[in-house]
Amino acid sequence: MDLAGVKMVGDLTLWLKDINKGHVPVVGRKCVSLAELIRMGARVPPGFALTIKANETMMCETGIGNKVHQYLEGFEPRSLGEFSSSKRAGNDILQIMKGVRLPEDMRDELFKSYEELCGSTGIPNVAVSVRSSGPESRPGLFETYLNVQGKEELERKVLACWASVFAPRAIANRVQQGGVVEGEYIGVVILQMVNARSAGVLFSVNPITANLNEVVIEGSWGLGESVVQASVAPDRFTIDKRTLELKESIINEKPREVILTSKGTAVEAVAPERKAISCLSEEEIKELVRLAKIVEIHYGGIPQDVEWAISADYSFPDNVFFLQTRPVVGVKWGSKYTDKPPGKSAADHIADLMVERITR
Amino acid sequence: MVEWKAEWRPKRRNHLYVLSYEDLQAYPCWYLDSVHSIPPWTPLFAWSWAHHQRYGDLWAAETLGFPTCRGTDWREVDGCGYMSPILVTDKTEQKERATRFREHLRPFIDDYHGVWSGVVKELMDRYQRFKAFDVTNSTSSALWDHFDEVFRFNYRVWGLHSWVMYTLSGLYALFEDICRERVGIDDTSAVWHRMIRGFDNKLFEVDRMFWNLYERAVELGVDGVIKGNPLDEIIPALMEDERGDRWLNEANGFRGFLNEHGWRMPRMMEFNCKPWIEDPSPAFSFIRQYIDKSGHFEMDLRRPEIVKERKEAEQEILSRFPDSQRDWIRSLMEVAQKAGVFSEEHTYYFEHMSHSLMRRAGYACAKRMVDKGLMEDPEDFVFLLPDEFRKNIIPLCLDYRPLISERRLHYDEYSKRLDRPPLIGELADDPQGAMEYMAATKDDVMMKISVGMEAVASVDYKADLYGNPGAPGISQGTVRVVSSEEDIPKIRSGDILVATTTYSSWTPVFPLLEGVVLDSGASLSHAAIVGREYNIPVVIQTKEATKRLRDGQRIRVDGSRGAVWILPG
Repeated sequence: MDLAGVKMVGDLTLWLKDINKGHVPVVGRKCVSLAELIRMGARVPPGFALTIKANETMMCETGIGNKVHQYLEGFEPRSLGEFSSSKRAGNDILQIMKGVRLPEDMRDELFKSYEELCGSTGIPNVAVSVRSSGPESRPGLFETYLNVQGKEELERKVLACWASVFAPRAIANRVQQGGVVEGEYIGVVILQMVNARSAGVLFSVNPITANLNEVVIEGSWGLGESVVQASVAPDRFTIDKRTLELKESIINEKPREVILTSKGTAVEAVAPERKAISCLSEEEIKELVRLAKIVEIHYGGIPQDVEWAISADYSFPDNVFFLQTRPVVGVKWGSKYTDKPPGKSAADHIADLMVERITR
Repeated sequence: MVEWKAEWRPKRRNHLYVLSYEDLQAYPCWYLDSVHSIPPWTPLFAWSWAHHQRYGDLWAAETLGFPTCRGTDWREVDGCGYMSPILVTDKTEQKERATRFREHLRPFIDDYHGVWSGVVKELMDRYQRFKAFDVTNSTSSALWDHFDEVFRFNYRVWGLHSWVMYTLSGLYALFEDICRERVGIDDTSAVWHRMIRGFDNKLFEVDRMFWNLYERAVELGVDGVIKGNPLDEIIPALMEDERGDRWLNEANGFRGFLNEHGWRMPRMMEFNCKPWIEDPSPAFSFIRQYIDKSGHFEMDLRRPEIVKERKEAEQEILSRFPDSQRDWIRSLMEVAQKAGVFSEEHTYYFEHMSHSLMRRAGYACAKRMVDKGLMEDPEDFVFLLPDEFRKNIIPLCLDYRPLISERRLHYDEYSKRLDRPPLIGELADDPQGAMEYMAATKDDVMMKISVGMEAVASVDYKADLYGNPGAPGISQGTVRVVSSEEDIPKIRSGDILVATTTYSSWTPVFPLLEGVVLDSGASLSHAAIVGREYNIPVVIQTKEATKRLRDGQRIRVDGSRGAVWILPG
């Protein structure tokens, strides 16, 4: 890996604002996409990353890496693709990792960066989220921790995040993909927690009808977990991408929301008068769409799947936050342009499409 | 009945295709061609456009059987071109035309190279004959024939021009549409821009020769003579010594270069500018700019990287389509890529050559009238119309001086009127309706080359100016606002060219530039194509760059996002 010219704050941590496109091998995809969102003018909560290298260093210096290696030698690698043995291995490795602490230098650097974050936000023991950021995007594979407060807790959650590389489903996934069983090293991204009034996802294209000229937003009250975990039917807005006109809004009854508590998060009942009203104002919708269009263009027109949150602590437009963006996957884009049937010549097919396009 | 508005009505009627009262009734809307005819044309060029380009467009659309449109009709209003598409609205008729159109498309897809080299051969053979004609010593009857032939051939030039343009631009637009709908990429995407660059074209070949001439001048030690003398005294100064003489006259020397490639004009859609073969000053100022810049020919340095990126972009786009569909997508992509090359290099074969030779024929006729005292200055040939030449070539007795001074008065008046009504006719007060009428042609030529997509304004980059991405990359440099070709010699290495639009005759300064910012433009505009090839960021469709930016300002240009920042200091 050529790191010439890469600006390193420390070997182990990097602030989001100092991260650029070339840093994927250093801090992972999620961190880089957050950094790019900032450059594109989207609001992203302040935060920093623990590097992929830090993960590797931790595994070596604490001797955990060796222990895991030795433990896994007792397995026939392919058998780990099966649920029962990957589950056993995962649980055993979690036991091996239990009680381990970060190497001292790393802990110091983590705490120093965290104190700086507390300083810059003006909040002692500022609440943060702790998420994985691997060199490859693996949505939903590793653990995420919300509303983490204080240095000690932060250290535990960073370690837990790294331990989740050995969660049974992660092991099984690696084996199925033909990867190294012992795992991959991942970065960790630590962001100030958004005290979300509403949150959800945005698709820069309509993922259901595959209409590329529509943006679809789904959202609910409280933290994004409510939508992501599909525990409530979210509000759903369809917007014309060109005119930003709201074409359709479906406001659902939202009986529950996930909120921040002093110890983490909790599911609470939504006050009756808020249940059936829209979780987004029209100006918030427009702002989300406007930003999403920029993001989509930035990524070469590839449809994006964005996680967003509206903060209860700020007023519009400073309350609109982007927490993640990645390409929309798993949608077959519909088209008026048909595939070429086998046996037909390329020129015939192109000429037909051309004529259809003009005479449609 | 649509009645004249004062600002619509032409002040003079020189010929049949000056906008008339019947035209107002018969066509719902006339659209100003601001790309080509602002500033307004001389009477002879306006005549030629209204006759030859009009023929070419209608002939091509009708020959091809373009399903929804019989081509574009043209009228002149005081030196400006106004166009109006002729729609085919009847579905049955569209279907019949489509059958014909489909057959005409086939050779373009199967063997574009064959089609295009046939066109180039037809044009170049004819030009070689025209060039070989001795306009000074020929008999009057031969000159008459020559004049007629050169002017008549311009019908064919425009016919072929539109014939290729309709087909290629349509295929380009089809490919873009398919990419947008199926894989979410369009011509504002960075990968799209990488995919359509990295090809050679005739104009770059000429730039390369310029660079060779510059290097040869340094080698022979005559670069000082080129730099140290007024532009019009360079040739005499060079002829004074043996090295200068070699630079001019050796094989691959300057004279040979001019004779082969000097048939291009600072303003290609006009007759009143001397082509380089007559006045090599622009050529010398390009060479001087290269002397100031020195170093390497940028394209040579960047080309391998750009070609590599293009191949990666092709793979990236193809990889998003299912395996089973990649063969025809690749065929279509290859034709679409040719549209960029054609859009750029065709001016060399069509406009520059043809118009230079028309100028040469008209000027030669005028010269004979000047010798008889029937005209004051041969440059005044642009105030006469073709029949007026024919009327006098042999008799040489009609005194055209009063007619010319009358036309000149008219020209002097209208050429200052730059604020022409963009729309004339029934739909003039309904711009949206007018645009919808135009869009019904499904004619992608207008949309891709001159109109462009509306820029999506965004406040996010905190930029001072927003447009559309024309060519990718980010750079910084000094603003140089260019309002006409006269400003071109002022450009220095490291400048960012800011203009309403650019012309193919400006291509040689691109290696000096750090970027280009335009008021207008689309993905197949000259600046976007050349910028991509030279790896210079280009922002198009800013609407107001020439109004907002001033010479000497430092700016940052982001050609991938279509944004421009004015830097402090």
